[in-house]
Amino acid sequence: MASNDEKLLRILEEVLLIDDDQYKDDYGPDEIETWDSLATVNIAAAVEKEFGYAMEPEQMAELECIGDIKEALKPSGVTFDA
Amino acid sequence: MNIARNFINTAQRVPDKPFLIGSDDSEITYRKMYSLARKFASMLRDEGVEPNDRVIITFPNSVEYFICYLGALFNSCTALLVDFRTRPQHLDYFRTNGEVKRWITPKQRPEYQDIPGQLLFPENLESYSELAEEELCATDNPIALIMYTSGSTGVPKGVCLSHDNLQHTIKSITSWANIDEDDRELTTLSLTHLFGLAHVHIYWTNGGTVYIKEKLQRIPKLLQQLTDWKITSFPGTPGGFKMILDQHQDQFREHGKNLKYIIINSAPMSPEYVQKMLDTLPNTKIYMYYGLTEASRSSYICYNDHRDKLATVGRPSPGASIIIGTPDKSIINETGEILINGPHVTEGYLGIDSSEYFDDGWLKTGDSGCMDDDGFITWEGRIKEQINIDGLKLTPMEVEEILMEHERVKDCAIVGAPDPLTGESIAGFVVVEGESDKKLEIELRKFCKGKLEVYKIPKQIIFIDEIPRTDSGKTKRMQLKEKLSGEKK
Repeated sequence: MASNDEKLLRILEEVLLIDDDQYKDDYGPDEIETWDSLATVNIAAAVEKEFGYAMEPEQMAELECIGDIKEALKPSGVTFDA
Repeated sequence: MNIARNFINTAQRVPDKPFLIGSDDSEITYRKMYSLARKFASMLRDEGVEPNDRVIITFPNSVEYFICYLGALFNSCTALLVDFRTRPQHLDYFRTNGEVKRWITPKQRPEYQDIPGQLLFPENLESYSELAEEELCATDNPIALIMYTSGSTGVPKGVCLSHDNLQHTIKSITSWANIDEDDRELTTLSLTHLFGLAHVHIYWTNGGTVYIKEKLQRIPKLLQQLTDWKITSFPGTPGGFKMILDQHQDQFREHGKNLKYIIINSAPMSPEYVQKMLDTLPNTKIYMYYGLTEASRSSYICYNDHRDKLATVGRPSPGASIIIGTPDKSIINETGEILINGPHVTEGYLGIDSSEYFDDGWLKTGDSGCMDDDGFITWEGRIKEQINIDGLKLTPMEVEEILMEHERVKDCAIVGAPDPLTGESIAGFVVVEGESDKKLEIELRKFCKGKLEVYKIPKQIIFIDEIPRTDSGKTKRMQLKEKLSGEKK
């Protein structure tokens, strides 16, 4: 069974077209050129579908890097290795 | 008159007013910009760039971008403004097609290093002397700008815009939007595209201040800045405003309440969202333009004053004429091609016979629309095979050519798929050798990412056995679009 990191990587690969080596907690719109506000909406939708957790617009707006997505998911019990 | 003259007049009138506030909050006054742009013009001369030469300026939204742009105009050059995200092969095409002397960029970019003529923004700009006042805009070069748009054949065409074209647009918008030196605009639009750039022309003509952001992101903070900076104008695209209205309506209501006006452009907005905008900001004038790079701001509407016309893009702007149909037979209350005439319309495209794009002096827009008895125009779609992603346009062929380069792709066709946020998004139908799966879909999209601008990457890839074509080989795109709606059911 895929780990949560693998699931999130798969989402980001599909939405942002990132490569494995770009899956870093401090990577955000400045490092990933495909990440704009529209992509954030798509990430949130995919995260909801995969993890069953719907982010509030305020949370979405605060997603400035991959680490923030993991943080946002923490309260719902979704944890990550790194 | 050279549009940089407008800037000079303003710099002499209100030298200490802030002209630009950069993304890093750095402030630059009219006086300072005037000095730096003159130094840049002087540096261009040192680098062998003479009046009437063409230069490419490829920068993200920044203060430095405007130093280069004004410096080029002061030097009586023609500026080719190119999106900073443009891929190297496209930049090289613009360079050769435009017979460009130098291309100017802020920093070394390894993937662009083989393109000749690069000129980096100088770190020691202050050490240059200012180009003498009598040398500024001294040579009569009618063409101010060349902007590339997607051609119907997939080859980008350089739209030549004269100083006269741009002066007309400045005058027209200033007159109906009442923009003056007290206005403060916050822009997230790409300033290498005419929608955002023309606003800066207006501001430097009237003495207002423009706050520049690189893109629409961190929306709550951005909305807070509307209040903090006492912003009076906030232009944007329908997709951007839909996102704000859907997700941050309360903050928008709170922080946007002192906006004097909002201007929407680049793509149509549904009446439902126009109404939502009017309800959210009841004291703000909500304007919509219709136009294209070749004929910017051809029509406009203030929705507050025409609440029964929310589905329209308004009536012709001052000085502009619009008809539907042909010059011989224009039609009312029927759908036909939108034709535009007026002093703001380009005289043609760079280096090609442009006669097929005009009919008796009227620009054939390739858009279909309908004009009602009151002269209001409803935009209905594209006649030509162009896709519009929240104002960013492309032709299917641009993407198809790239996909065909992939070793597993035997055939493909690109269509615009309906998208609730951006109007359209890109869907690629692909025929491949062997098995197809999700992994291959992502591989193909990543392949495009390396060769195309981000907005041109297909959002979805659908594998099919055969691309439907007519006997003459033309792709049956309508049939593919129907397939898309079938898949959603």
